[in-house]
Amino acid sequence: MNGYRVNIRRLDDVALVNLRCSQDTAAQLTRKLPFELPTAPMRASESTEGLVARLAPDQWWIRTTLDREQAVFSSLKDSTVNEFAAVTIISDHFQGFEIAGDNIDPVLAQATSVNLNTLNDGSVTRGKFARSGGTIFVIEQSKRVQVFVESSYADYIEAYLASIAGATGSRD
Amino acid sequence: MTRLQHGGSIDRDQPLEFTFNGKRYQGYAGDTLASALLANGVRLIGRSFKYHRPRGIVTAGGEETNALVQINGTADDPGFSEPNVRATTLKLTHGLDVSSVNCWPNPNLDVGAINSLLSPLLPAGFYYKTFMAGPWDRYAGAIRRAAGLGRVPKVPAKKRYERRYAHTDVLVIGAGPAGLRAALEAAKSGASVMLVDDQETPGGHLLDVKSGDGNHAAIQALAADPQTADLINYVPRTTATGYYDHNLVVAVQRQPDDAPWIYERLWHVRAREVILATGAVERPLVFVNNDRPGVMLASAARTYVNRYAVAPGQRAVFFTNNSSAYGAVFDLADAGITIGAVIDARPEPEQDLIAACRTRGISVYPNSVVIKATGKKQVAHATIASRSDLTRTRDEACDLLCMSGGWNPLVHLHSHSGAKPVYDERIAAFVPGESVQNERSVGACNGDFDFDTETFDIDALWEVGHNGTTGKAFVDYQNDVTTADIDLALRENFQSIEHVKRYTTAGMATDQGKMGNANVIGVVAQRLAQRPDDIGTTTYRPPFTPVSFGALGGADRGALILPTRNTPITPWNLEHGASMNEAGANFRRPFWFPNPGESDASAIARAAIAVRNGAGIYDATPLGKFELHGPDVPQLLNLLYTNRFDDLKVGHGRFGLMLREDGRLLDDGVTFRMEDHWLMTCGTGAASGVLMHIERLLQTELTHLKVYVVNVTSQWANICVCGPQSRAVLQSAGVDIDLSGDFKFMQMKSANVAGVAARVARVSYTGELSFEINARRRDALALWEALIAAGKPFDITPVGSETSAVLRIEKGFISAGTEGDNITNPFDAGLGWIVDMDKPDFIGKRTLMRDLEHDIPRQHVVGLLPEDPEFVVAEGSALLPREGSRDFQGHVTASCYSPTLDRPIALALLKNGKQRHGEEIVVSGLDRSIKAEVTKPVFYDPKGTRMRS
Repeated sequence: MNGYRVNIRRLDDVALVNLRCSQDTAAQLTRKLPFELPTAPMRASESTEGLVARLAPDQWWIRTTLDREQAVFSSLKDSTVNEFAAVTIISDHFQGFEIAGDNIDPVLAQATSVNLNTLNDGSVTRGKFARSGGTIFVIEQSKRVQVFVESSYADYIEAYLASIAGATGSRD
Repeated sequence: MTRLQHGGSIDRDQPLEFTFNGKRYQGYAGDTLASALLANGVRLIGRSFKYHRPRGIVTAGGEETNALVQINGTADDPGFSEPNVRATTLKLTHGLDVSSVNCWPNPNLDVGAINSLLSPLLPAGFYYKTFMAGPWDRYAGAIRRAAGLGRVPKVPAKKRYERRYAHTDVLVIGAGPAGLRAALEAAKSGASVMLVDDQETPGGHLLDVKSGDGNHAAIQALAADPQTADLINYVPRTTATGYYDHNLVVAVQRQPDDAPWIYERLWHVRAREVILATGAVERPLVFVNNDRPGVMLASAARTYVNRYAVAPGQRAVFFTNNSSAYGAVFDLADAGITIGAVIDARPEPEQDLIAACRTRGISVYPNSVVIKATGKKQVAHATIASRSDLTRTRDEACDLLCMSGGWNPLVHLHSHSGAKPVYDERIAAFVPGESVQNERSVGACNGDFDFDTETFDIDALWEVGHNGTTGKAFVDYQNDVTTADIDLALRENFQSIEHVKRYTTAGMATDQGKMGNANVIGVVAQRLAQRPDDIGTTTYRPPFTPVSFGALGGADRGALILPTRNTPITPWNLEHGASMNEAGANFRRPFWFPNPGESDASAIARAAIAVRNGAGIYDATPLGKFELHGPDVPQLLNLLYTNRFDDLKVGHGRFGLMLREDGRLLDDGVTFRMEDHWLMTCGTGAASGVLMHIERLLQTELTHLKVYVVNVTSQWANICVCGPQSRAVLQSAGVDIDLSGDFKFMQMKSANVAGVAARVARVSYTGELSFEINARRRDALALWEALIAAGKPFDITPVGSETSAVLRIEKGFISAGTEGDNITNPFDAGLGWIVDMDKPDFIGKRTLMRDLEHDIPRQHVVGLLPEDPEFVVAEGSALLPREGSRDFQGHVTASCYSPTLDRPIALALLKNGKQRHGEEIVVSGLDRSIKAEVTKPVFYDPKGTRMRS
């Protein structure tokens, strides 16, 4: 063995819509939208569209598929037309990676100083990742995470992850 | 051979071949290089740093300062090279190839040993006094060749390194008895515990005493307890090298068991609590020639006998001032080594110890000292005297002189944490003082010794007095610091211990005074008639032991040495032979696109001419892009920029100048008003700073403003088609908006270009008609290729960053990151036209008012026309009023050969530049000085009619 047992793959069919608004506005939106905006900080919950994550007191990400990107955007836009809110498609600004396998902890511990062991399934965190920045979704603790990095860094981070995973770290 | 027939922790069934100074030897698995060399009778390992004196092995651990070697290869990586490695901690492996350092051609016959003869001319402070005058370059080369502890590797290591973060409730450093017990107690309380230790197995100093000892058995049982293994994350072969703020400890692990493909792993451990159980190291005694090969710490000799089954000598003399050395005396005697004498500086050593010696036929000489060791490359005699009469001496033959001057608790990590050690008279050593972080010290590093003698008794002896005996008595081996050096420092009034350190270099370098510092402090205290605690310690600095660059770098090497950012056009650029380079904010960009056989300069000029006369295409994706939402965006922009934005119409953009609070240039860029939000663009390198600037304002000072900012830099690619034919290129590609007529300069429209949904803006950074097309990242490459195809009839040319720079210099466009030098204000830069001082406020306005009120000469941006039409002046060159003058009046900020003007041009910051157009000045570069005419900074199309066409 000369590498960690992990699989690293790009997440290709992911659309991201960024929502900035106050918590009160978010509460109102939840009543209008077909999905719920989480109120717990740094948590993601499953919705009919996909994962919806609360990243800051006034920021949410709605993850969906690319073919639903415009529909989700329009839905949010229409719902916030008279509100102080910002709805922005950011699917191309970010690139997602999934890191899965039995050995993801030592690989992630090389990429980020964030203590992921304290985060259970459904947690989201942000921080330095592979010397750039990353938004990390803990899908299954110590087994599977999804990381979103600025897409301009994607090629570098893919190579970096392959390097720190070692020779047997595979990429789909 | 001096390998003992029995004992030790080595595996005699696993012989290992290795090479030292080109000669092959054999050792065993479990050996260090030092133990294997001793087992083969090798005593001379290398030469000392300054005087090139013969040096051997003095310790058996990480505190070693003498037995330093260079690794020249390993079985798995024959080309591997690593300098400054301690033989005493280097694990022996099959095929290991090492050599001595600080000697040429070999340690037996070393040319550099002439320094020893010249030593009267090379006292402490020699460098400081001698190399102050004259050009440093004259002697730098020779000094650099002579300095250092080995050779820097010439090729990259094939070995793999890793850098990893860890978090734990409790970090225990040291798996000796105290550390093990602390770790287990913490673990039982429910805390997560990480236990790092620099040895292969737990046990600490008990690994070095004879097995069968009761304490030894108890600790072995503790280490082997499955409960211990379950509760504690035990990390062996790991040296904690630094202790930083907020309980961050950095440690280096060698060949981790969980990842055998890794050579070294650098840990960054963040702990709620740190327990230091780092132990203590024995202290040398200071007497003449105490550095001769064969002079060894008593505890080290004991380690070689017990742990490695090596007799470090055949006839040993012990010299001690404390009770701990007797354990070593007994173990060596029991191993069959003849003990010539035990010289004990204490007037009344313990009777039971003397009796135990007598039982073994060993003579003990109380109240006595060794005043000198003799022998050139190997100790041959110890000269002994009574402390009460140093003139009456006798020589005792020996090939091993074991010394014990007491013990230095390893307070280094405690000191790294910001705490100050304090002197403990009881053990004549410095121990940890008050903790400043959540840290505590236990065991020997706290001064709680656990020796196999009943009590620890010591009579502090910082140096042995002499009776006129000549020779060097070393207080710090690493940098060859002698008692005479300390005397000189004190004579020259360097009396603070920090000054003594810097003057003599005692306590400096890689060992950070582990062995020598206490003696240095003791000697200084003695000379100044003070107590050691009045003198205090210097600050021990990280790293505790040297850390390889490989470990520091981890995976950040080769192509991954720096994080790099790509644009969606990068694959096309690479495929078409672009010369790629880092161009701000980690973006890799094409600098130029050379045709086969074409020079760089020619490629840059060709693309510039294409833009001026036809069409060029430029990937401007890295520009920062931010969406601003909310009703108060106009108010925010009015504060951020020097000009007004609240009157900007939808679909229009405006160039803005952003200042810092001190009125200096922060960034410039164009901001567009869209239907329901605003789109701000800014310089690539400034983007993250601008975003932070805005967020900081919104979150701290302008919290009343309803504005959200969203970074969309990588959401949108930005493709710039520029040149007089650019309109035709877009039309040829297919565009569903009218590009002429009403589509004015500084407007933005939604459009479909070559089948791609986009936003098209009329902005120019080239001075030509230009269209910037924003498309989603996913569509950008297809759009780029479509534009290239559509541009073929117009000979469209890809443009790199260098060409872009030429075009902007020709136009005299200011770059905030280039002409802005943290002093430049907008008026200096010729951008006063964009500053609306009548606005109620904007960031930086107050300082600008002050600038305007004070008639202080300032540097202004000007153009330069060098008199030599072939010579491109170097950026950074100084501007002088005349040849030979030292009146620095500015510098060249940007310079190029202008293909449009067919001559070199430059932009510069020049004192009172605006008033000096037409004047001649001297541009002074490293290689050449040249006259140049000062001009306006705009060399091309000063009215801007081409870009507005």
